[in-house]
Amino acid sequence: MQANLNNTTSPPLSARPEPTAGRGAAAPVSRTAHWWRAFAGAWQADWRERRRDWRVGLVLALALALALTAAVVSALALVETLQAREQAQQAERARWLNQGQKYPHSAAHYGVYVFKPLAALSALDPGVERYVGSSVWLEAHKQNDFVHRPAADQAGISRQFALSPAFVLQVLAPLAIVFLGFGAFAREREQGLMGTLRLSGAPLSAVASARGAVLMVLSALLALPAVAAVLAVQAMQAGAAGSGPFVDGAARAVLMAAGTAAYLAVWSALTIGVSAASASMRGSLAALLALWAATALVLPRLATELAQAAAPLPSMQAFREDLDRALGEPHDTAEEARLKQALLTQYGVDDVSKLPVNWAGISLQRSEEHGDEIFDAHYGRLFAAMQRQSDATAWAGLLSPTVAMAGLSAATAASDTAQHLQFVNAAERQRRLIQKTMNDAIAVTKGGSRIDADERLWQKVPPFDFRFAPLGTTEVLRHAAPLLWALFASVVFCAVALRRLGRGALR
Amino acid sequence: MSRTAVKQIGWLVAYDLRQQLRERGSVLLLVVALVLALVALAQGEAFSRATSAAAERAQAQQAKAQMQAQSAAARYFASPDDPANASVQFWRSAFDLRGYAFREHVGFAVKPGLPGAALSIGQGDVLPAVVRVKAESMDSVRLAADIEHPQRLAAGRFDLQFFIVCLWPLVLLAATLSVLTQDRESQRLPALALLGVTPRRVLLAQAIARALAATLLLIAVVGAAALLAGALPMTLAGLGAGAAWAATVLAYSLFWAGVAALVCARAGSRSTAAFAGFGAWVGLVVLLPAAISAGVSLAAPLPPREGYIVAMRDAADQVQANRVTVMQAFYDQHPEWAPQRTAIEKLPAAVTRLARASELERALGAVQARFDQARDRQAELLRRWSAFSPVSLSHDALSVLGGHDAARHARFVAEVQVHQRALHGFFQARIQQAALSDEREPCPVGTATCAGGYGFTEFAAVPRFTASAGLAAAPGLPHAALGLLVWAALLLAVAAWWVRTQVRLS
Repeated sequence: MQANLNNTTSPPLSARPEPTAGRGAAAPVSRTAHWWRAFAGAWQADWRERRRDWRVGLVLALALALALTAAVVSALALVETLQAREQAQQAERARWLNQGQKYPHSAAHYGVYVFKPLAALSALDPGVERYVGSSVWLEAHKQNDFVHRPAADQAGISRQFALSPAFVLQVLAPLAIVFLGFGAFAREREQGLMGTLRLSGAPLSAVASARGAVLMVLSALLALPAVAAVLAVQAMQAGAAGSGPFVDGAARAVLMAAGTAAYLAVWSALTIGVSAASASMRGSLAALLALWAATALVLPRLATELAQAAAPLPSMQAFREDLDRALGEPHDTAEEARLKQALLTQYGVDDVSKLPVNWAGISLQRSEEHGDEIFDAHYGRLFAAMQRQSDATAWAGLLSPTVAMAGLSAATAASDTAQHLQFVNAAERQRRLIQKTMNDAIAVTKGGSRIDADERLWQKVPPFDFRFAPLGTTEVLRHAAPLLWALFASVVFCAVALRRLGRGALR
Repeated sequence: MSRTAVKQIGWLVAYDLRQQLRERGSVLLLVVALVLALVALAQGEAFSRATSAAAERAQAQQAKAQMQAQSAAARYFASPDDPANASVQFWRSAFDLRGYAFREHVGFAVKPGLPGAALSIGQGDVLPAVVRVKAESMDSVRLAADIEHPQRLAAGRFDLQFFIVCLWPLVLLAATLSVLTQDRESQRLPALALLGVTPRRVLLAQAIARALAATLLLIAVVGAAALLAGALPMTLAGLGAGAAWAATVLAYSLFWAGVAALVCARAGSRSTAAFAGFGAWVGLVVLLPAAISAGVSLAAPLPPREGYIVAMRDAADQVQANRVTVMQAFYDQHPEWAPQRTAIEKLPAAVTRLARASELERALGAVQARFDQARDRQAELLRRWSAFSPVSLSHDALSVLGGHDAARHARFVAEVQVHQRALHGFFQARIQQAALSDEREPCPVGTATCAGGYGFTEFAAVPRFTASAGLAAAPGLPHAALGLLVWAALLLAVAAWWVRTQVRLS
């Protein structure tokens, strides 16, 4: 199951390079060609061995069944959510436009709900989506919080190991690699077959690369159901509502695919390296499982716990208390009086009711802007602390490939905290646009008259159409760097282990 | 069992444990595990402390708001005509019923913490322990959420529950998977048989002894640390919670001893045992609970929450459109509050607001019930299917001991709902009476509010939330722990049967 174990499946013996071939000898083979021939031989041998091993089939069948279940469950949930949000968004737009005649400030209080759009890629990696609210009510005077977190409706055990394609690829695929590859070299060492392998003359690096590549290909099979799910959701999204919430969807998909390949390569290299460094299969399995448990189970949780210390977040009660206190404090009444007086002077009248503009609208907008400053300060501090926590957690990516991959994967699927905050800010901008449109409409009416508006005004508020900002080079590098580091470190570790194996005793 | 057999088992266990202590790898693993357990306990303790601090701060805010309201009312009613009161706006004044009921009233409901709260965070970070209660509706309770970094919630907490449920079995497996298999590899079984030691005795005695010894050490270290750090109070309730937790952990460890015994009974070598044992861990800890969750979500899907929002908006539009009819129906039910001189369509919004909110809640009742039923169906399915997953059983048991399970939160919300209705009723009665008084004798022109009308000073009479004794009581040993014992007994029996009938000495 773990590797080719005998002469019949070892790389061809004739593959040794002949740098100084004499007369009558076979044609000289370059070092590179020799390496590739050894790689091909080892690949064929390993692949054949694994095809014959029923246990490989069992592990793969189980993992594929799980990957398929995860993809189906995730895609179905996403499709249902997308349809529900699309319908709700359309209903809200229709409600806003058909609210009838009313005073614009009443319309501002009536408000609208907006719903977070989801990308097809989030079928693969739902990221934080279950833990953030999906909708927010945009109304006058208040920046409301996002509500209806799916996590609040789910049972605790569902949260412990929520089945998603990302979970399969980030947590279970490495485990499959470990189970399939822990004996890659350890078995030969344990059974004293290293001599046979060394006698074949095949470079260890070629054999290791071939065995690692087989592991990668086998584990990459687990990604197929997820890819199918994403394509299905993407096709549905394209048919229903256009291109989805991305302007750089293709680039994100490529980045996620490349990241996944790199991640599987990291684990393949680690597995081959540990196996080469272990004298026994039991030791290899124990070391790899400990590594997996530490990096895939413990570190992701510990990292987020420790990140809390980097930038503690207030409790909701404390946050609301501070915010309400700030909102409750009267804004600069002297400034308001000065503004009112300036208007009166500008238009040469002695009372606001005689103004050609409506003081109520101006005052309402002033009040909104005062509130906006307070919201910006409070939510700004909160979101900055969250970002600092995200940054602190990202550092753990240098120690844990799983943390690194999770960060990159959620960033490309737009299901990370930063892009959720992007949506929160966009929704708040829409709220402010609605308020300004309504207050301006009041302000242009003459004197103190209170005039109801109709659909012509409601139409002036454009529908909320959110697109995630394209991932910039800096962002891509920031998310990819820990994974690239992990790839570099694992390859170096593997090379060192192989070098030691090559130089060391046959056992 | 004869005295000789007991002595023999004692000798086997003592010898085996001494051997284990000599293995540096096993000791190192145990030390690492204990350190991780203490880190996990520290996280739980920090969470518990933060929750208590938030609860205290909420109570303090509530008390402070009441004091400020009382002193503002005293100031205002001492001289309502004071020019300084000219700019008072009733809708943001605590001494006016309309301002107090809808804006200035600060009331919280706090879910009491249990003595074992630090031992598991569970759903505690998703289901808030402190909620603001408003007279108008339950929305502030239903939609309440504490501030947490979403990534932290998504990754899950590194608490003692996670450690016990997921990581501790790895330690137990590492410690027990060499039972019998090592003897097979070194061909010691025939020699042991000559001494009258059967493979079955070796398997059961060593698997159980190793698991129990490691678990008792864990319980002792964690228990001592929890008591010293104050994570478990030094009270009868605290010690009871600790004992229930220890019993659950012991039962769970015995289950894993059973898994290890079964694997060792079948495996011919330590390598095979390691492969099979850790494969079993993946299946039991990761795959089975995940498959159960996926199955439950497919078998009993929750309706999308977006549908709830649409229904709520529709209902709000409907209530607004029918507000006269709604108020007419309300005054038909409460003729004592019916306005004498004002037409219903002319009633101020503040007077009709609570009645409209009640009507909205009533209109949404069916939609909310659909969600509640779907959630109950899911919970019921999970409860039934969890019987087949010892890991889910232990997870549930530990959640219950910490008081962070969904069922307890549902009981808390139900109690808050009773309180909210009382609060709603209190303000509704006061507002309607004030409206009648105001109708009879309006406040003097130029004053925002007056004592005979909407003026409000009864701050001490406003209902406050108090959790029931049942909600604050520590749970006993969860039933799930008994389920774990049944599983453990079953696995150990199968392992014993297998090794007796199928295993040869060589």
